[in-house]
Amino acid sequence: MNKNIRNALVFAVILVATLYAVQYAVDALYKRRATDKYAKLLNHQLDPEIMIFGSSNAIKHFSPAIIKNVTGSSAYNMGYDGMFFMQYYPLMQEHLKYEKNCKMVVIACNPYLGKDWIVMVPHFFYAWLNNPDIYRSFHEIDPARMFKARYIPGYKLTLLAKPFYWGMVYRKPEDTANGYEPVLEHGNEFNDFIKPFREPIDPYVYSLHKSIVSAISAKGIKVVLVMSPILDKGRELILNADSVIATYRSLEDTAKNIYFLDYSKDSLSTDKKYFRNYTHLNKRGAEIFSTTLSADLLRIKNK
Amino acid sequence: MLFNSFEFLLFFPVVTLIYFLLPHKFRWFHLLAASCLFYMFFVPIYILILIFTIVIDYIAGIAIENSSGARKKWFLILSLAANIGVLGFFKYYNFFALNINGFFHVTNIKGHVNLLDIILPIGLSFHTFQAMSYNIEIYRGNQKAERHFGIYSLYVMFYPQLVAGPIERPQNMLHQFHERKYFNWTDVREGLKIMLWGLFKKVVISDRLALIDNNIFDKPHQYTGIPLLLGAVFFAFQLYCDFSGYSDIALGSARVMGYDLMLNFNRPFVSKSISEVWRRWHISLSTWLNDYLFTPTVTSLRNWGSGAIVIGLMLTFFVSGFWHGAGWKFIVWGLILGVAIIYEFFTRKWRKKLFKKLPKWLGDSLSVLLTFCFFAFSCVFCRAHDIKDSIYIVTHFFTGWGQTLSYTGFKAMVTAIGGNDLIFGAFNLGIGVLLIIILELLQSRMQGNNPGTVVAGKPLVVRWGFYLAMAVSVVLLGAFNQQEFFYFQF
Repeated sequence: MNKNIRNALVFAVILVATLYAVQYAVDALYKRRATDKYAKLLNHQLDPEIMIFGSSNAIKHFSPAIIKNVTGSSAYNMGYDGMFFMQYYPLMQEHLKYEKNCKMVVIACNPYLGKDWIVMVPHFFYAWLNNPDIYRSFHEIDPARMFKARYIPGYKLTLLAKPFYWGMVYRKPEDTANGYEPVLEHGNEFNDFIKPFREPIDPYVYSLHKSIVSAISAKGIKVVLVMSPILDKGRELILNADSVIATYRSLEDTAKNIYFLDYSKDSLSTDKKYFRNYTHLNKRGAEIFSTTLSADLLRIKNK
Repeated sequence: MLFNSFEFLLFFPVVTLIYFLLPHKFRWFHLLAASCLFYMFFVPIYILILIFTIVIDYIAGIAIENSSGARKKWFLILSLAANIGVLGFFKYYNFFALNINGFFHVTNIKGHVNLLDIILPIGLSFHTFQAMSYNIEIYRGNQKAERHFGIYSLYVMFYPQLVAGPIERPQNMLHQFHERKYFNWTDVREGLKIMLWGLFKKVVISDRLALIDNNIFDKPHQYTGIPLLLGAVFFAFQLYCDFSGYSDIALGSARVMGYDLMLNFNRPFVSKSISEVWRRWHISLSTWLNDYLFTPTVTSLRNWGSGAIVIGLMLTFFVSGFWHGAGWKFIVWGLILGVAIIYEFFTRKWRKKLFKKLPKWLGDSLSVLLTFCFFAFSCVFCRAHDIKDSIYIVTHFFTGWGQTLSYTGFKAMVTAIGGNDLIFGAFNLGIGVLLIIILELLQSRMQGNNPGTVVAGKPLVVRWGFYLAMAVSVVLLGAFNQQEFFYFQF
């Protein structure tokens, strides 16, 4: 073989091997991030009696401490800002695979039931792209990037968030609120320029909902779908709010032990002081809401 | 398509491989098609603008060669007008419209010029200048008109230098497209090394420094003193690594296929004067301006003595600033540099005497330091959002130092430049300073832009370790957010 070709091949092999090794080390370090809630879940270290999934209206609205006080069951909030159903769907699947204590799964319903979104905080999950459920769902959201991240050596290292390396070694303070991150009361984000719109209801996303609630129910775990309070003016902006709610409500008939709680027209919904913006409660509103919700969860728990 | 994109990682080897597999007579077509594809990754429809100017310049080139006297001049003017007209419309229309409207407003004249919803086609300024140099060189008799339409198109569309230069001359490039290129391992190896070095400068250094600069320049009024100075210094390096990094990738990718593009940067930050900076920075533009604007201006005004130099320099740097962007801040940037070079011209004897009194090492170091500081200061006008922000920044370089030098003040500064994240700020600041040191150390041992010269003659393990470290750094430390090259906006 020509010496130049041999050298080029050897160098390429060394480069690819080095990138694989670095990537493996980074993945290993990332998997050991004990304080990150997704790492905890994917490492099978979280097993509360009530597990809460959802996007911003989960993380901002559901206080595990209040739920525990009222229901007596341990609770954990897996919500994340902007994380839509197709992304936390595989997390729910993973949770189902290992849980031993779970009695109830609470899903914070998002008025957005569409398919077109992005993978939020992807760097939290890159180390687990070999998990088939995670990969399948993430690939459906962002096919090109996720394919490259999984199969091209070193590629996912180029996608990591900038503070990533610190994130690997720097340990954040232990999360004492069990994943709950309410928004403060001061300041608001009411956007008066939003025009009325229709939320998409994608049949595929709906089918995923059906599939997961059935799977949870099949394990004897109760599923509670919760539509949080929406400020009345905000509700008026969602032209098809009733259809969205009816879609979620229809999931109740999918299997046993599935409950839909609709607080979208709750008494909080008429008072702006409990809201950060049209669809998100502030801390004050979230705590009142969590108390109301907890009473309903206790009722369901005791059924 | 960006050089720092995954698409280019596929595009480049495929295009190169097909290039060498094809017989020579088909290669121009292959490279032209690849260049069109490369360009159309941005805004596909804008390729029509390039085609329009290519057709005009091609016809004008032949017409200039075949005519003489006033007719020859008119063909040149026609071609220049077409190029400047296209550039003027897409790049400067809204600038002029805004200023005319501002004038109407100030003078209470009723009138309004509508703004247009147009985006500057990427690389148009580079493309236009390269096309103009072609017809000027034919007019001057230094270059024969290219009869092969495809080869001419390739000359102005060659993808390595299509969107951000170097602004090549026909004498250097056209003949290369006619020559039969053979696969050469040395070219491939050296070209890849130059590309790697360019990529390192772009994604590791420039984009990393941009993370700090963006936080400072986007909200300059939140800062005083040290962070503003830091922003100016970092931006000078960011701009250098961004553009020279691009140029190196361009040079390297052309070299792999056997083409030699002109060196566009030659360690500008070791210059001892601003005029030297301009001989080492964006060399293809500064020589273009020198050949087609400064020298003709000074020659035509030669009876004016030193006045000709002053007018020539101010005109050249006005055009240089305006070429960089349709905004007053760019004009001011150009004029600041023009004034600095005029100052250097008139004080050269005095400065020479002064520096003779100092030990050589001290004189040289002071010259380099002062030159860099002035250049970094001027770059503030290039990066800040507008002249108001630029003036705020340069007038607050030396205020509020006491506050920043305290522990809490320093911590607050690092937190702010990290985008309200102390750890991120400290990480980027530390890495940023370290990378600048590495850059200067490597460049001081490098010949030209080839990093291979740093480890030439060293054992294989050292050489390969060096390239491997650079490649892994690109992946690990690169701020891969598909940040466009800063010079694309020009």
